[in-house]
Amino acid sequence: MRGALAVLAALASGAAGAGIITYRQANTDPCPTARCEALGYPVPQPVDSQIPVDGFRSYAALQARLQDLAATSDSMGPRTIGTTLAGRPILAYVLGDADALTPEGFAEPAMLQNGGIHAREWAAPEVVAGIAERLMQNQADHGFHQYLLEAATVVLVPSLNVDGFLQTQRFPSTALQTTFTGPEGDAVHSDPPTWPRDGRMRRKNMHCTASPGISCPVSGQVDEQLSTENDGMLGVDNNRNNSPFFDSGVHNSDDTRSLVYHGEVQDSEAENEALAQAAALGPAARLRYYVDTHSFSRMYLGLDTGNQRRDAMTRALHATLNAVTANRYPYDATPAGTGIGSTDEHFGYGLQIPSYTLELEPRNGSAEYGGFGAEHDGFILPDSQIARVRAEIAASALIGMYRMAGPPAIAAVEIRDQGAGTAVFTAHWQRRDEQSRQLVVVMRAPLQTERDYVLWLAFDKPMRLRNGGGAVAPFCGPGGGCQAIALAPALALEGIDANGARFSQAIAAPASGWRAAPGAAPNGFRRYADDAYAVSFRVPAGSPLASARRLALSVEVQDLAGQRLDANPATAADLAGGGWARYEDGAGSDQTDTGGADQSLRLVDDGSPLFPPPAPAGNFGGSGGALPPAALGVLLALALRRRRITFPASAERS
Amino acid sequence: MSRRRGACLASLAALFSAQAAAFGHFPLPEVVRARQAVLAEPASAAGEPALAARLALAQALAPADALHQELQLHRLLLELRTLEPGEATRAAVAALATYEPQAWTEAEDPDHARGRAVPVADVAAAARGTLRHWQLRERIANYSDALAHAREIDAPVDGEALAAALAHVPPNALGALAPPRDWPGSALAALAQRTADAENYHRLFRAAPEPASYAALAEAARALAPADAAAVLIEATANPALASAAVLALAPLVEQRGVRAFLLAQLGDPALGGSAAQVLWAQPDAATRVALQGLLERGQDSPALRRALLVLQHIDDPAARASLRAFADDARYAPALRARIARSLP
Repeated sequence: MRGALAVLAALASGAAGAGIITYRQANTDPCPTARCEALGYPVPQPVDSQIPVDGFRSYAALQARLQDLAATSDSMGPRTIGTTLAGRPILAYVLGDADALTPEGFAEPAMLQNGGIHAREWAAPEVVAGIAERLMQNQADHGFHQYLLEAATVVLVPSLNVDGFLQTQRFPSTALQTTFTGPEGDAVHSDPPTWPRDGRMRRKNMHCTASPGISCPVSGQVDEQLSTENDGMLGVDNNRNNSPFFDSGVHNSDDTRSLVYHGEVQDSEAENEALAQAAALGPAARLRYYVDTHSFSRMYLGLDTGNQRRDAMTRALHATLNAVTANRYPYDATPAGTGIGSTDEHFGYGLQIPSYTLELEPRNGSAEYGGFGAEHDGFILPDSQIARVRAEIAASALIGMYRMAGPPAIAAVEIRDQGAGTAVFTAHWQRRDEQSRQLVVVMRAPLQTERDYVLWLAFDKPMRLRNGGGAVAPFCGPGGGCQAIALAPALALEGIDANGARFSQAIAAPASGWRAAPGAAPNGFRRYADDAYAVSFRVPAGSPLASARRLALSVEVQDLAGQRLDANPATAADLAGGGWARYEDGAGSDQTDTGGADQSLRLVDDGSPLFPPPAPAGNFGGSGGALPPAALGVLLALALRRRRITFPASAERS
Repeated sequence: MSRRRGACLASLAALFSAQAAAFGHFPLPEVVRARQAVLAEPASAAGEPALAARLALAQALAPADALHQELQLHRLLLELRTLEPGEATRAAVAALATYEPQAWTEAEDPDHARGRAVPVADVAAAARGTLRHWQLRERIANYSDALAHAREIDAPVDGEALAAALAHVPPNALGALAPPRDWPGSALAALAQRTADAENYHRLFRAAPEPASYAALAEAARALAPADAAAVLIEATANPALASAAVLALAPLVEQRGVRAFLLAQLGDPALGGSAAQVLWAQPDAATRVALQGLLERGQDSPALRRALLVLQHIDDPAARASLRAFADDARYAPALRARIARSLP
């Protein structure tokens, strides 16, 4: 009853004043402090467990877990990227193979996911650690995860604001309530008087900045006690300390007591310097993906930089990330030219890469899990929810990284005469230099009518997964959200027949043609499970392809993230200037970031260019132009002469 | 993390004003003022009847005054939690447990809901909380009575209530208590804590873990006789969800007979090895060093060897560094691993 009266007294005072807030499951016992908040679920306590549990691990156990994963694998290593004010190391983990090259020999892309920049957001370190745990648990899966480790460098920072995080774990059930109200009338810079600050609700780092009425210890750090109000309000918001919008005056503050105090100068904080060092592990020039993990709101916050291709790519990547969460994480982008000094702005603008602030769940608060709606309980995710969130976001992050590892391209093809058991056509792309490949083709015999063949196609990344029953499946999250892709490729033999007429003969291609067993052509995968596809087909009597003047294999397929093929593998795609360079669409343009059907594999090559030359300016290709009568006639004739025949798939291959 | 609001304020304001009528949107400064006013109203001194009357009044407020109504309801619901409800009050609160918010505003917190409206007050959640507080108090009283009179506790057991009852029941009521197997972890944890009995900890750690189970691991190490605690915790490692935490809870007992040998034997275990290493690097002794050195001298890569190296890296004294240096020069091991160890040395 004493506690209840204290609560009532605090509520009745209107301003509550400085004091300690205690978080409890329910207020059935006397409140030991000035105010008690009933959450409606057990108050999470740091758990000393390396293995993930239904709860939040202590900082020491979490880091020991990651160090253990690193020690027992050759695909993960710890790196000290900085030192906090208190002298603690800030650790990043680099996941990938030993070299900085893709299996093909191109420079690897890099992905960076940060967590724990805001101390009280306990779900973030768990989620970032969960990415490492999933990758390491599946590092030898001969498929999706192994591909990521071999084709990209993944840099993870589970807990950037180490000192702040430890302060929150020091006081898992208590927080300091302050009286900071900021400049009069300035709603943005005022913190309502009931807001919790230090202890479990510390957001900022532990940097003490002297200001009028506030002196700092020689150490430059705020103390670890909750009893001193001014001290408890200090610290720098590391997510306001960054270029290019440092001190923009937009939702950041130069008042040292503000929750969004931006620091004295840009990049002044050890944590921000450490994040730059983490990016350098990529290295920064190879970064294609940045996510800063926060809570709460269940959404991706992003930004438009004004670079249309980069902004569109950021939206497209969000769609991939979001699909795995059953579209529960919407996207909201800040307009170009404005910002607050956050890290996603720093990487988004600085590198022109997709860059997000990921706000984990809940959407509005823990009432969504049956909680009692206590103020700020959105920062206190119930123990019972974190395992699900960890798994969901790990899946989402990894499919995002897979997407940004690069668009898919055909790597090799073989056509085998089933009767003779010999390959009549083989081709594979091999690296020529940093930006290009060359096609090595061996044509042993032309295709003949009334014969059965096996077409085996391999790609440069795993293209499908398997569900629990072993069936071909898209990439899904643990909650059932899946990437919406066509599981089966669309295949055809296209060309120009002996009479100069275009033809297209589809090859029936069931989804079951993906190859999950090793063995390469004609029946196994090439490098990773389900990076290859095999299907039998028969060339019917009378087919024009036997005497074709030009004959090409047309392949239309999406990777696990829904990306279409690089239509011209001769030029190796890479991210540059906010878009995919050398990622051609079906018309040969690398300005669309869409990809298209690959028609680069010619069984009969007439020497014609792979893509038709672009229409001259002012001619009928542009908008509003009318087709000249002669051109119209040519197109009509071509259309009339185009024939389409479908090859039946012969017996489905196991 | 609500961000960049200043820059977007104009567009947001336009958006909100366009939807204000439909969503009952209130500008944040108005909400802050209204909240302060509601909080500043004196608390009811007359107990449940007065609060219930005010609750009825608040519910009767015109929908046009949704802001004031919801703030009032929220405050009253919190105040009612400490009181004994009458039937009418209970029914009124139960009706509010499905209340749909009418008053919306921008989120105040810099970590929340950029560009989205949020409820001014979560009346439904507060009502659920109030009902639960009443229910808890009643169940705690019932359970306390049952425990005091050695009566059986009806299933299904409310773990939170039973844990609270167990925390306060007189010691003599606990003496012969043999909990059924279906007691939830929170109740078993409370019982173990009260009795400091090894068998009760065994029961707890065999059950499906709850948050209280993890706290009880460290508590067992403190509360039980060291040998008993070691036995309890080593057995707890058989529960997969508790295994790592149980190993780490052995830290204060590492000098107990058999504990260090147990930890060394776990170094190669996929689930427990990392945790065993963490305990060992915090408290190395001569026997540990000999065992680790033995692993290094086998000439075979293994998870146990990797963890032995990790332990030595953390010990980081001259002897440990010398062992690591020797390992880095040992040609029996893969160059990449040796190079990694060499890089870790000063």
